[in-house]
Amino acid sequence: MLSCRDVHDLASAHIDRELPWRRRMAVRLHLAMCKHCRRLMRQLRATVAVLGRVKDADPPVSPEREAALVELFKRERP
Amino acid sequence: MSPPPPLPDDATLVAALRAGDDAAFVRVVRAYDATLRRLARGYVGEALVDEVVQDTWIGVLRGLATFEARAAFRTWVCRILINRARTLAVRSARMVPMSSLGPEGAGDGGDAAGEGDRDAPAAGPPAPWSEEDPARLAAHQELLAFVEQALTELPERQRLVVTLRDLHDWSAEDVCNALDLTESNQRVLLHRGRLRVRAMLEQHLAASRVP
Repeated sequence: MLSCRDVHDLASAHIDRELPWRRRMAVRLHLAMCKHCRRLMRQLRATVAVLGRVKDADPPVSPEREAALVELFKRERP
Repeated sequence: MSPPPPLPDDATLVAALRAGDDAAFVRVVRAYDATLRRLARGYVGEALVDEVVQDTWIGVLRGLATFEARAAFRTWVCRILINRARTLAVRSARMVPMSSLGPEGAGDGGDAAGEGDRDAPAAGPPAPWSEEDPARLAAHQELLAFVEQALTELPERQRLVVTLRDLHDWSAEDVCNALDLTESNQRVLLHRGRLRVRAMLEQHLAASRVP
């Protein structure tokens, strides 16, 4: 039986589906019984989801910057 | 913004760059410029980001002739950026964030042995957030900006691993190669970085309700 401490340490590996089947089932069993760990897992999943959206807000490379870098490429290319 | 189209395989890409193909270089810039700028911001203030990234592109172009494909092209580019950023940060005596100061990797969890490692104990049961639905949270630009700022407060290696894995979808293997990490260290750094961001989100969401 896993402790809350164990589940805390395994949370990212669980989210990333990196745990072996038996370990994964043990985490799920613990989560079924522990509301604190369920909340931690839910919040960590949300954290990963938000992190995954951060780059969507990146502006595209501006035409001016692209043009400047192409000039650099023409100057420095092998 | 739609993501740029995937780049060709490394051999094709490098051959095109060596042949002086402007269009191939533009595709590389579109694919990696934002990643490089974000990584640079972890080392230097905004005013020096352009310089670090410009130096990196120069390093890439000058190194193309001798690039031997021992690593993936993007991990090679990333390593050039990190070297340039560290050098400039030291030269300007202005490491940002302050948490990056001190011996490299100190206290970031990356030296832990893996399975037997214990993370720092949590302060207690996690407090509920005003909103925990990932899709609704991710829809808030203000929250995305908060998370971007939170990343700059992580220790260097945690920040790099979380940025490359969770923001830019790099594989664990590529991150290990780019940062010279073992698989177990990479896993610990990713987990600790995520936990820190979660803790910062907890404080933020307790203080300001997401509508």
